[in-house]
Amino acid sequence: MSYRAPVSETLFFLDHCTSFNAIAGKGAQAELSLDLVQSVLEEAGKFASERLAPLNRQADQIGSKLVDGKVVTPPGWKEAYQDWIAGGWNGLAGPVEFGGQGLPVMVASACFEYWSAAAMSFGLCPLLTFAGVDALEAHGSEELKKTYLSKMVNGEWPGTMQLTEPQSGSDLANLRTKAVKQPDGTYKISGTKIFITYGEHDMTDNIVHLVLARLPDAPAGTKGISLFLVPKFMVNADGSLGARNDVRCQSVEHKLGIHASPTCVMVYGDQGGATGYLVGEENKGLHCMFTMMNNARLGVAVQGVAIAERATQQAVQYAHDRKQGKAPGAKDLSPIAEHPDVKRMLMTMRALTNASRTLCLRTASALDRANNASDPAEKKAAYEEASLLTPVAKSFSTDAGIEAASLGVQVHGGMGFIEETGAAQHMRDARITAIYEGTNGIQAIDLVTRKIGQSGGETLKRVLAEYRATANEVAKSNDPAFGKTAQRLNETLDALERATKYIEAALARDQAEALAGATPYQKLFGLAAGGAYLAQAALAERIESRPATRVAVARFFAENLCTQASGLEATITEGAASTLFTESMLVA
Amino acid sequence: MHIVVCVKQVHDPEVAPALFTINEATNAVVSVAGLAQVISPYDEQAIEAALRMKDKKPDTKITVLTIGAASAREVLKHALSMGADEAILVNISAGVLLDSYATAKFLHEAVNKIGSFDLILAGRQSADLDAGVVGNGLAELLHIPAITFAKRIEVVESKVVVDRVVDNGSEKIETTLPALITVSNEIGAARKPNLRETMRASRKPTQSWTQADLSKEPMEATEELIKLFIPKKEKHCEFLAGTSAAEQASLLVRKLRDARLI
Ligand SMILES: Cc1cc2nc3c(=O)[nH]c(=O)nc-3n(C[C@H](O)[C@H](O)[C@H](O)COP(=O)(O)OP(=O)(O)OC[C@H]3O[C@@H](n4cnc5c(N)ncnc54)[C@H](O)[C@@H]3O)c2cc1C
Repeated sequence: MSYRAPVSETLFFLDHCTSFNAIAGKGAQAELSLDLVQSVLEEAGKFASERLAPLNRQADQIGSKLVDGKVVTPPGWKEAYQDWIAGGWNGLAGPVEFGGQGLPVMVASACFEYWSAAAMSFGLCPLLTFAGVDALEAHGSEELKKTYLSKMVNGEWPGTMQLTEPQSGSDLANLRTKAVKQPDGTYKISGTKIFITYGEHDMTDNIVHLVLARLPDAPAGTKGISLFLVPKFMVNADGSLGARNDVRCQSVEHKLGIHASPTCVMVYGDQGGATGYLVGEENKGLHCMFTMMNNARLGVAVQGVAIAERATQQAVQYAHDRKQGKAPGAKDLSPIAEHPDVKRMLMTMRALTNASRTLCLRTASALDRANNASDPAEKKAAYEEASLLTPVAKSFSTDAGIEAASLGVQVHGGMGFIEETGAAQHMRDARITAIYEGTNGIQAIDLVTRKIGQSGGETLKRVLAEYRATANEVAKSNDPAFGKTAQRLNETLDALERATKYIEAALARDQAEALAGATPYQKLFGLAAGGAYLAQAALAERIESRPATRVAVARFFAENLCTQASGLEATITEGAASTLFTESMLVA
Repeated sequence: MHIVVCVKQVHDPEVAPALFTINEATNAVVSVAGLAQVISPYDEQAIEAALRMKDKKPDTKITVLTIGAASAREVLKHALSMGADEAILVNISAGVLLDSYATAKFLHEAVNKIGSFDLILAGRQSADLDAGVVGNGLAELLHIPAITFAKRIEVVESKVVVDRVVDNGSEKIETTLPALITVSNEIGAARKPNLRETMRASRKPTQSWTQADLSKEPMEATEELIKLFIPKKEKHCEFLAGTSAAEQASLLVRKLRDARLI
């Protein structure tokens, strides 16, 4: 099934509802213009639809496999990756100093959506490289940067991110992988990492692993974790590749989805320890890792948007082709797209997709504002806005991807359940996005315990005030095409404000009570944010007096999805007791 | 060397027909909102052919030329991102339907305004109307030789040698420059623009001309499009009577003859 990158949708939102025009043409972004970005998005989109999308299904069927200790990626994968890096795409947002183009996070996120929609498993490799570049740029020594950064920026040496161990997933405090300092200043790494995405593969001649490990005398818990760079092949002084490092892939997991992305068990130290280089300071690894993780979280959020878009395009096309039954008032057989219940599914998919996209682009926009601000107060405010929105974007978009992919199967009826159709693959691929890079449950805890209280709650207040202003503007427009949009947005915001007060009080009283409602709170936040951003796009569209498709999407979202707000509020404020006192029910 | 490549923006031929409708009043194709138009694939391959010549002779200048509505700027940007040097849009209002003759005349005026050139390339036909006339028409108006269906083009000094696709193989033709060549899909896949060139593209010179810049005479279609429609697909299933396989077979043969299928 073909895929079209939604370039005009992305551009419209960038132009009207983000900081794009505020940063374009100034300072480090002096060259940036909407026209330039349009070309970049068009060509990134073409690469996605013409080069990557055709590989997606076969890659899913064949998958990546471990053969004689080497990971073999599906046919065409390596060539596609080499073409992709030859096109310079890996360096899109990379630092200019190291050969990147330094484009804003917004633009990189948009392109990443297209590549991931075309082949989610493909996009994962660069996702982790981007994260590695960020960590190395922020925390690496000059020596490490000089040796590794330009090759990572251009994608010749992709990166991996290695946190997880069998006993240490969501909770990194129990990490056991060991690092021992050597007289020459390097470290010997030994231990086992699991679930490592693209930990080993045949697409490039070297791989740069970023590995969390513990020094022998390190304090217990997360304060004793350090970050190391471990190359697959050692790099000689002249930049050529030297000996194989003491790290290998022991096995590749069999998974529900993303079959083409090898998920590896990595073993360090068969022969006494892999050579690693410290990134940042000893015992400060978690701090460095968070630099990687924030961007990777936004990346995973964008994967949710990507899958939702892909599933929606496919379902819309099928629903126009497939004829069954007569829609109300029709004389002949109707395309199923004309049945009200199918319309409901398609509109839900479209609204979830677009809302997630706005959330991700606004998160990216806040990061770009932070990156480009010269005033420290402005920088801090923008950074905190990005931090607040990140868990919401990650969870809402990945949940949206899963729901849209599931609805996509439903729209196809029985054919949706048949693998040949391709709708099922999206559903299988989407499922992981709610799990990795911090499960959505962990995101909710982050939102509730850390993010809403940033700067004494000022950041949250500012963001909510913006949403309220949007709702009021919709009301003021007096446009009947908006239906009850303003009213529903205001009700959602009322519910969110009351739920926030409840959570804040509960946190002070009994953490469990607050945490029991963290996920529904996060969902409610997503509804408010998505509803408001869609309405902003709709308002901008009305001013330009184009055909009002964005008004229709914003209205559908408000009238059909924001209506869940009151239910979520009740769950948050009144559901904790029955959630927490159920031990006897849950005996295994 | 200066190569002019003529390109056209079309509805994406890869998009499912179900996503298009026809406006019967204007005979225009209407696609669902948000579907971008694309460069006609043969024209994209014509750009590729020009770029291959430029790869060999870097001082080659490639100008891409299109006639179309403002949205046609998109295909020019794509051509510049692929590596062309300059672009010219001859801007006509959206919805104006030019026939092949008017298009060739229009391009003729535009090429005259461009001035000197060594080679003109075009796709063998457009992917929407498939007429395949414009290239030859333009060569005729310019009084230059035309070679169609090229699968390989080589410039040797002031001559061009072309392998052209024919029914059961190919033939090699040589002519003097300037000349016009239409490019066939056998030339091979067009390159994908890289990021650096794409970012440079927005700084490359792009001109926009109107009809008034080209000629005083109005350029109008002389053909009239009477009706544009999406063919209805209908399926009928008929069981052939007959007691033996032979009898059924001869009934089938008669049916196929009646339907003029054999
Ligand atoms: C395909 C795939 C690719 C991956 N790629 C990588 C990679 O490249 N690098 C890497 O390091 N890791 C990777 N991972 C690991 C991934 O990040 C973890 O699986 C994830 O963080 C969850 O950890 P876990 O599996 O140990 O689950 P657990 O931590 O055991 O969690 C199980 C459940 O308990 C919940 N839970 C756990 N702790 C808490 C808590 N404190 N409060 C509330 N709920 C809690 C979780 O939300 C979850 O629902 C990958 C995993 C997969 C499946």
